[in-house]
Amino acid sequence: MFAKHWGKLSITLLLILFSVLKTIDYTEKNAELEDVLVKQTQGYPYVYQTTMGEVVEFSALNLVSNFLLMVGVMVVLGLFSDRYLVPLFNKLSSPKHYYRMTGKWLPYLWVITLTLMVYGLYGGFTAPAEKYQGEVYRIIYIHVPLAWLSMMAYMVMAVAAFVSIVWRIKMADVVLISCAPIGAIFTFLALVTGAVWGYPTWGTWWTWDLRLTSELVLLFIYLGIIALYSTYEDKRTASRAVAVLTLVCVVNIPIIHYSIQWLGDKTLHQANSVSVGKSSMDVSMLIPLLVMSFAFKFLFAAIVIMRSRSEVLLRESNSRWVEGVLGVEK
Amino acid sequence: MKQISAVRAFWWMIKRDIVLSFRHKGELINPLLFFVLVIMLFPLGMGIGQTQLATISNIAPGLIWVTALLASMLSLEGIFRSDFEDGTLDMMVMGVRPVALLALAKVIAHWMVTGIPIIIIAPLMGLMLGLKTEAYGALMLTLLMGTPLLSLIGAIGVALTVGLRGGGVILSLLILPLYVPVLIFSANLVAMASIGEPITAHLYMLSGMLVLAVSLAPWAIGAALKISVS
Repeated sequence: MFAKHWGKLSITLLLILFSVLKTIDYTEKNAELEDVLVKQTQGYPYVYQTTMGEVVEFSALNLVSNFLLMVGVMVVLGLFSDRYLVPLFNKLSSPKHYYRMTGKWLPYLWVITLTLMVYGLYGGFTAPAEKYQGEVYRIIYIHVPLAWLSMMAYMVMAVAAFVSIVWRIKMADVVLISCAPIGAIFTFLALVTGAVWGYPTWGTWWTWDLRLTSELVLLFIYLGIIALYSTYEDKRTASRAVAVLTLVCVVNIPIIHYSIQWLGDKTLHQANSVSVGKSSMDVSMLIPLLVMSFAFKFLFAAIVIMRSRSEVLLRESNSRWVEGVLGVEK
Repeated sequence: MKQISAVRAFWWMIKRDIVLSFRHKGELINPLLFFVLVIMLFPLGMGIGQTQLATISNIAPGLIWVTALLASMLSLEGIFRSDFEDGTLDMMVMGVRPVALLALAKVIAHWMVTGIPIIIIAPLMGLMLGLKTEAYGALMLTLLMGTPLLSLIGAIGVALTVGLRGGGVILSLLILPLYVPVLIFSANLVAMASIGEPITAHLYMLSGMLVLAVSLAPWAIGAALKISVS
């Protein structure tokens, strides 16, 4: 049984681990020190302060809701994997089919992106002004989706690097290197919009705090990956080197993040105002933000697909099907 | 021909690299000279009055650590160079012994000839920068744990770029971001020791990172070397 279903079993284990880690992670950010002191005096068992000074709160509700979500994902994966998902990935891993299928998806992706973006921007500009910051806060509708996406792009790259190293799938290489410049630009824009937002609200363009510093390091990691790729003459070798570097950095990113978190002083950056279950934002402000974040995710997908399509044509320029696509005869 | 075991090959590699370094004494001395010279530049650049000396003494842990980091990066650049040029690296990668183990041996040998001299001379540099008396132990301890960490992380970047023409230029872009956690923990540890605060938590983190690097970095170096020589 283990031999037959090891794939599903390992995915299940990973998802359980992920749900537990995720729960610990965001309860940590939500808990406030004052709450902890109050709750400790009331004999509340799940809250404590670690030796590093941060506050950890285990909430049973969060754990259960996360777990149910993950079980749902697992059931869906289990039901659909053999019939739909595995054939889909098999097809996508062939350059020819990748080119053909993504060509069909692309118009839909752009329509979804533009619709969501128009709706989100309209909602963002018509949402009520913020109590303390006034109109300035509206940059959140650009800044926060960019910041989320800058990390998500790296996660996509890490998965592609893993697939490329383990299964040697050519398309994973293409996707990996197509993501890197987009991730770099999104990270850069997140830093710039953050600075533009920071000056009127904190009175400074830059501060060495957790998020700003890790975002800056992330930007340099993206630039390093791009530089390494462009230095190699042979793009096949370049892709393998970039895959190794991406995986090395993926071990490092959490370490960088937490090292700055543990050692930094009290930060200027506001706490997360959005997380599953409890957000401190008003709904009228929150909905445009979520819409914008989805708009940016679709934008990212669309640009990655466009870049990877042209990269595929370049790499496969000697194949018969490329000649057919381009209408060139030899 | 008799085959030697992987463990024997590991010790042989360490011994061979140390002997080779002692034959080229310039490679031994250069990182050390760089370390001393750059440290000398900081006080000169800030002016040598009494008020500046107090400032320098405050930022001494950071200065020493940033300089050690740069020295480590510069000396690492050549760790696989000669082996790559004369084909030894191809033999290592094609041979029966695991590449990761041989790479680890090379990194250890390299650390012994470049890292240890820096650790030995660091207290002297602390003295010149007016480091607080309480911080010397912490400085030596962080360098003892931090410089092998730097060598292990840096060797991954060097292994990726060894076959490239312009490899040295992008090396700093590849490995300096990865050095950030080591720098943060070590420099903070020394700074905390100099104002008399407890440092055990930081020490555990640093040793944890060292364990992680010793166990994972050789595999990454091995994979990178395989790509570079292919």
